[in-house]
Amino acid sequence: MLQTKNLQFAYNRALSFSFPDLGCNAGESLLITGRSGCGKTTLLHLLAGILHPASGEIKIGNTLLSSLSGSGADRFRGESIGLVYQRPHFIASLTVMDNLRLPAYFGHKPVVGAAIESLAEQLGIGHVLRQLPDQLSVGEQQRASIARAMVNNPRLILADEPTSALDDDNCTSVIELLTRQAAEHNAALVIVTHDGRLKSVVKNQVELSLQGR
Amino acid sequence: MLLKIIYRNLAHKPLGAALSIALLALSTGIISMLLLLQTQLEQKFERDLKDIDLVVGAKGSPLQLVLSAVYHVDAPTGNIPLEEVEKLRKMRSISGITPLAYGDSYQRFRILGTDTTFISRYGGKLRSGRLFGQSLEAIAGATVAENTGLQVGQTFYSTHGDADGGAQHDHAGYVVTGILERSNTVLDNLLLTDVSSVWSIHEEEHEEHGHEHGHEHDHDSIPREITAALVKARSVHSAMTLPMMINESTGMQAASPALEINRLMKMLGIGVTALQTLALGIMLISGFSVFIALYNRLRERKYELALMRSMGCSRARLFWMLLSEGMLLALTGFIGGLLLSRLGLWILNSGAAREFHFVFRYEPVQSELWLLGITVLVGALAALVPAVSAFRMNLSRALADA
Repeated sequence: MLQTKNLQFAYNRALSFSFPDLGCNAGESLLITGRSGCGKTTLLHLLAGILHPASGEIKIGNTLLSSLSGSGADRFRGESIGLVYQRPHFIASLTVMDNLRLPAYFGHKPVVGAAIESLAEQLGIGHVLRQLPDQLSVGEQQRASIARAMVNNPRLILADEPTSALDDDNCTSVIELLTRQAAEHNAALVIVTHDGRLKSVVKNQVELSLQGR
Repeated sequence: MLLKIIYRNLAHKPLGAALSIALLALSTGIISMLLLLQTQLEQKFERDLKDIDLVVGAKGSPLQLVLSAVYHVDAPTGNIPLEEVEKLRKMRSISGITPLAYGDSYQRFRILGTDTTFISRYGGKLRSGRLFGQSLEAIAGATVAENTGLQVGQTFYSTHGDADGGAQHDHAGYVVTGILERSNTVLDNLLLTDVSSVWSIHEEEHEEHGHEHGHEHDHDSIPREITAALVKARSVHSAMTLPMMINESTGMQAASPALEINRLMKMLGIGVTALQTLALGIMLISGFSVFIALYNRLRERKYELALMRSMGCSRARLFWMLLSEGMLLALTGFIGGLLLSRLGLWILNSGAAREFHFVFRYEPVQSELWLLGITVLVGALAALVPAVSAFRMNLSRALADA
């Protein structure tokens, strides 16, 4: 599902990265670890089409993401990629339900209220859909942001430090939910983290090394 | 959905938005009210000016003569002998004369002695009954009939002068023979009778006083006088030369209503310009306040906007969203301004309408469309900087910074 080749990125002459080739099949998970400053978030943004690589290829399904223009990448991201962040952020003025409707709206997909509700039930946040995001607990917020990443049935789910702000209990349940949801939706799941607790959970692992600075 | 995001975002932090809307409403309200007043007053002045090239009356302020004889809002300058006016009738350069004799009043509405040319001049039509024919017959304008409840066949007694507390003539009453249709001219606010009726009411008054004071009066010694005459000149040239001739060779004064009203409008214009400048200043400040409100929120919302981008929202769409926010604020302010200006007119109408015999209408005027355009433009301009900076946002950095 996900395949990268000779991926390189440079912020400027002094700060550039070259990444090892990665691959992740549909329904599988890949853990990318490394110390801070080694380019984890940069890699994730490259995979999401938020940053454009200096050279190399990113292929997601049959789409060569690295060849898409800025707005083309925006569109592809909206349709096919779900993102989960370290800290759950929402549109504060919209209810949780409306926040979950947003990906479908921006991704040009039909909004199915019933599907969102059943997804929310699965993730145990069915009872908070009418509330504002601020009124949720941290655990609920993180589950809501997983729901948001899943709404469009993405082919690739990218998670940036999804557990590092959580305690052990929440960490376990969140990573469990993520891997299970990815498997159920037959999506590839890529997690970048420095959270050592995850190393025992995800089998496929790549460690980035501090380089090229 | 985009509209919902915009609306919810504005409603989420309502204080900043409220200040912007209040300022916008105030400025558009003032401007819209000025536009309404100006348009309607000009229309009114023009309508009532129909076919009147000159007003002839007693010497005094020409503006006062015009205001009293054409618009019926000021006291007359005095009386002129009918004889002199009749002389004017014979002049070749004059094609029409309508005599005006100010009588008393009835419930603050003026009774005007004249002839039927006065009614046809303003295109008045009878709604019911017939025109006045014999002495002491009168017809009522639409507003008069509405406010006093006068009906055809009813008799009313006039009050001396046009104040409420004047002495009532209770010996001779007028009989209403007709009611006029609404014409949106001075006709609506007048009771019309013939000139001789006005005289006869006052003769009786003289007799009354005569008896009281115990000495006789010779009727013939009362000179036949009227208050003013509306003159239609035969040509533009004669309209220009007549005033000088009348002013120099008779004891009367001739004034051109168009010139006098022009002068009045110019004097009022200074005040209007000052108010307009003030309103434009408030509009500028409100534009600035919209800018500050949006810009402050932008900094708070940077991550939200990045989030939308990461969900596939394009730069262009985000740009439009922020621009629309500014325009929505402006539109709300504009609507508030329209309501404010109507409220202002309503206050004017309920307070001063009776005094000036004029009711302002509430329907929008064309120049308010321009005002709408300008207001929305101010909103869009104020939102431009935030919208551009959202357009140029470095998504990767914005996501990483949070």
